[in-house]
Amino acid sequence: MDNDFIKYIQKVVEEVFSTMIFIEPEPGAPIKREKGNKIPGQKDITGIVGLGGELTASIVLHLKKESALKITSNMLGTEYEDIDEDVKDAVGEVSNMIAGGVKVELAQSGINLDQSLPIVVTGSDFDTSCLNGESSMLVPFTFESNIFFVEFSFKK
Amino acid sequence: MEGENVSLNILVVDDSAVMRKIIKKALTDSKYTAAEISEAGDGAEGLEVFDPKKTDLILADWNMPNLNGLEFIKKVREIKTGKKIVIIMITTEGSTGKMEEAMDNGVDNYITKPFTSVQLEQKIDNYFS
Repeated sequence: MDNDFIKYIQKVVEEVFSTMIFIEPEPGAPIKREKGNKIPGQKDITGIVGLGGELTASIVLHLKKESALKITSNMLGTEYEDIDEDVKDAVGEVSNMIAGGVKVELAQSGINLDQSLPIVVTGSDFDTSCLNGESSMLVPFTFESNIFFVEFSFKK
Repeated sequence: MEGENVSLNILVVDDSAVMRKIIKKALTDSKYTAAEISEAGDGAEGLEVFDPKKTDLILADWNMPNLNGLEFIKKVREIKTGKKIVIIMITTEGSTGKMEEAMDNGVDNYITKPFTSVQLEQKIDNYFS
């Protein structure tokens, strides 16, 4: 099932970013994150959405400040220079759309889930733990000189 | 009516202020640039802002705190307005089952997020141009 999630995330991220953010991110090779290992590089803002029902999953978007500002600027057509309420909202909404898209893909495979409202956390001195207590998968994406990760974990 | 500006009273209901800004910008960049746009951050606020005599079109998200979009729409449809009010949901809930549930409860049309401004304008055109 990891491969299904990876495929769905890559498809949905491409769709969300090209449609509403006007960016074409390049997917990279997925990375397995074992319990206790940190996200590679720095993250400054994180969006978290839970999915629940026939299985439980989390979709987590990890962004550096520069990526978050670029995303928000492109979505709204205005330059943003710092992480403010609009940037947090934009990260939440992008996380929401990615999770929603994954949920639709799962529904087409017969797995029906409900979705939580997004939570956005700012700062770099925190870590996320995976649902199953063991490991999660990081799907990296790059655009311009930026890298961001969509992390997922699930349990049945 | 292509090329002419269309004047409408539109209520945008979404818990994301960013999404409300995106929708408003899409409307002002379209033939609906003359629209009078009001907004609400959830379904409960939407019921307070909704004007049964003036509102022509509601663009509503589904998943919101306090009162979600579908419950908001059910309550709107219970109000006798004496006029046709078009309701389009703009949401991440893109499964067939959810769309059917929405249509069964008073939603006229549906846009799944992500969406383009052209897609939004074309959906509204079905009813007002």
